[in-house]
Parts: sequence; C-alpha cells; structure tokens
Amino acid sequence: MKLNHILKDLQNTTPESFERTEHRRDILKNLGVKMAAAAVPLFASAAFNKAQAKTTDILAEAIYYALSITNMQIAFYTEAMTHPALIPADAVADFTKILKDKKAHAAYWDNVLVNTGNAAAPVHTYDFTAKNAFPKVFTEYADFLTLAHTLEDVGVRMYTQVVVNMVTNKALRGDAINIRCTMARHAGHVRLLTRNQNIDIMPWITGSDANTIVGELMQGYQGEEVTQQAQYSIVNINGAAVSAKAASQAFDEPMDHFAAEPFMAHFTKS
Amino acid sequence: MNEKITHDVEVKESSALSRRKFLTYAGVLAGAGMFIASCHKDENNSVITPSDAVDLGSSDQGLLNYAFLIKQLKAAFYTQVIATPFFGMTPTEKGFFTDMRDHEIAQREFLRNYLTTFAIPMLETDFSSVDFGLKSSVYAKAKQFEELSTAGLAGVCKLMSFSDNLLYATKINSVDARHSATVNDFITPGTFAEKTDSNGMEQAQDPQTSLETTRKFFKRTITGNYLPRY
Repeated sequence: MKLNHILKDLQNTTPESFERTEHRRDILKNLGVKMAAAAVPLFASAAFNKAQAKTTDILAEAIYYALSITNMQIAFYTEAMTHPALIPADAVADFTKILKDKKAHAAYWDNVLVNTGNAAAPVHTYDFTAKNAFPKVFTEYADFLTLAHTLEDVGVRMYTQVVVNMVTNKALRGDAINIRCTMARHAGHVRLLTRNQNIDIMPWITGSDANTIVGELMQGYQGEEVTQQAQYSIVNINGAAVSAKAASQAFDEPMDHFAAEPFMAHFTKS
Repeated sequence: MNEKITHDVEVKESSALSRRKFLTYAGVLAGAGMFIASCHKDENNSVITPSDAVDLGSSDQGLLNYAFLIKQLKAAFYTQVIATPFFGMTPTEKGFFTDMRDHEIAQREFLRNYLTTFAIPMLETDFSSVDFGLKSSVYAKAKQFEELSTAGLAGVCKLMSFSDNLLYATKINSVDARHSATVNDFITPGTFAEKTDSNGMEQAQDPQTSLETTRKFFKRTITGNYLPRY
C-alpha cells in the first residue's frame, strides 16, 4: 500500500515554512510552551522529522494527530446513524451519546487550533467498507460493532501518544487525558455491546485480540499484546498470579503514526 | 541493570526538580521551604505529618505512590469480592470481577517495582463500610472506586513531569476507565460515560481532592501534603 494521504498532508505542511513558523510561534506564545526535549517524537517519518527538528510545535501536531482519529470516528458514527435498520432501538441512545462526546472533543481541539493561530485540521472523506473488505459494515450490526470497537481502541491508543507528546503543557495535556478517559469509556461500552452479539470479548483488550478481529483490523492491535512494562515482566509479577492475558489487558499500549497511519489508510478515501 | 539505574536517576531528578519548583513558589520562605520539602516519609519530625502517618512524597514519585495506593485499594477490594462472593453472583460477573482484580494486582505490582525503594509500604485497607455479601453494596463500592480511580489517575497524569512516568500512568488510567464504564453499565445499562462534562471530558480530580476519599479506606493515616498541585 502506498503512503496514505494523512502522512502526505503532514509532510506537505512543512514546506510552507514561514507561515507555519509564525503559527508555531503563536501557539508557543499563547500556550507558554517550550519544546519537549523529553517528549517522544510523534511524527518521525524521515521528511517530517527533519523539519520537526527545527520547530517547536509538537503540541499542534499532537492535536492534528488526535483529530485524525476523532474526526474519523465522527464520520463513522454519523454514517451509521443514516442507516436506520443498523442500530437496534435500545442502542441508539448509546451511540447518540458517543457521537455527541466525540463532536465535543473535535470542537474543543478545533477551537484550540483557531485560538493559537494554527491551520484547521485537514478534512477527509472515508470508506468504511475499506474497499469492500467489510461490505456489511453498515448493514450487519455485529460487523458495525466490530469496526466500532476497533476504532475506539485505536483512538485510545493514539491518544496515549497524544498525552505523552503534550508532556510540556499541563493544561492541554489535562484536556487530552480527560478526553482519552471518555474514549476508553466508549471503547469499554462498545466492546460490551459487541460481546452481547455473542462475540467473545471483554471491555479490555486481550493480547492483540487476534481471535475476534480479522484482516486489516488486526493492524489496530499490533503491539497491544505486550506483557512487559519498563523492564518488568508483568506475568506472575512478584509472585502474584497474573496471567499473560491479564498482563496485556492491564495496560493500554500507545500507537504511534507508523502503526496508526496504515491502519487509518484502509478507511480513508481522500 | 542499566535501565534500572537510569530509572532511579530519573526519579531522583524528578524529585530534585520539584524541590526547586517548590522553592520558587515558596519565595521569601525559601529556607523554610527547603526544610519542608526535604522531609521524607521516613522522617517523623514534621510538624504537619503525624508520626504514624504514611506520606506519599512529592513530585512524580509522590504521584506514582498515590497511583500505587489507589491500586492497593482496588486490588484488595476485588480480591475480597472474589474471595467472599455476594449472594447470586453469576459466572459472568465472577469472570468480570476476576479480570478486574487481576488488572489491579498487575498494575499494583508494576508500580511497586517501578517505584523501587521509593514505594510506600503495603497498607491495610478498611472495608468496614462494605457488605461483601450484598450485591448492591459491592456494586456501589465498585462504582465509587472505579470513578475515583479514573478521575484520580487522570489528575495524577495531568501533574506528572516526566514522559516515561506519564506514559505508564496513562496506560493504566484508560484501563480504569474501561472498568468504570463496565461497572456503570452493569448497574444501569447506558451509563458508561454519565459524568462527562459539556466538552465530553472526564472530570479529573486533583490528588488533594481524591485523596480525601481514598484515605478513608485505609487504617493508617495517609498524607499527601507535598504532592504536586493543580
């Protein structure tokens, strides 16, 4: 698969150096931010990284990264709501609530970008059948739920990266953390709804969820299966009876752009 | 081994940073500030901290200890829920509570190791307000603890200074949120995110606020006067 447009968009932002630099200064000025020496690079693609090395807008880039998944989720649920036979009546309120929360998250980030003189996030169109890999995503409830909870889990994982990349800014980071908690609540709930369709999953991610997820969706869980944190093996840690399953469930792993972009590319048209 | 040394250094640096910050804030009281900030949990002479109290410490180390304390609470709670199941607990419920117990134990032990010698001791819990034989009592407490933990760790994450420490606390925070959504849904379906604000956000609690609740479930006095504040 060729590099997807998300990556291209990000790379394309760098040549407009002067304007962007001004914006970057603005976000720094307005937010009182200093470059995070300790922060994990979010966008480390060769072209982008080179440019990033000279700039200090890791916060704005973290917001774009956050919006890339939040906007995708909004489009997904919005489209689902237009299929009246898809979502059972007793779950409509749940997805209405989830969509409302996500729209509020997007509006919040959009507003931060505007207030700090940054360009708005790119607008995309989507194909949630992934070129017909999931032809029934909006006609079979179980298929819809499976993609829904995968997007939710990917969102939580991407926002882990967002939070860490906002380490220099307490206010923005606090908002990202609070949004992320809500996303994890959504993820837990959608996984419960999936479970109610007799699919054997729990509200937390077990390993890389390989037993319930197929094809392209598996990319959303790569790296989630780890059972080591820092230098500590979590399985039976300190003699406690902790299984490999529990060890992987107990920590939501971050997802950087190398993993997220190919995954999102399956569902992105333009 | 190298990694471990690096980690220790980081914790110490973080502590030093916080002291500097504290001194800045303390301004003219720099001398007094240095005395207060240098008080460690093992030093019992502080006028503020009762001599039998356990102090969580300061800086990232204190925040991690607070996360460790919350994990002690929840691990002990779910361990008891499984050990003395309430009347009528279904196999499904038992499966969920067992998973949650194991997550809490895994996170607790990880934090204990991660904190190395800075970890507070294991503390005895006080669940005298819980009737473990009664489903409604167990669910009510599970709901309270998960909400406390989700909002409390969100506050911890907000205050963390170092990326690595922030990363591990964040990884744990969202698993708490998954727990909380689950417990809420078990009590009343559809209440998975009932307390989000108008921005769709969790309402994080700063440690000073959530500790007021957390400490009630431990027998020893727990103080967190030197924890970072909002």
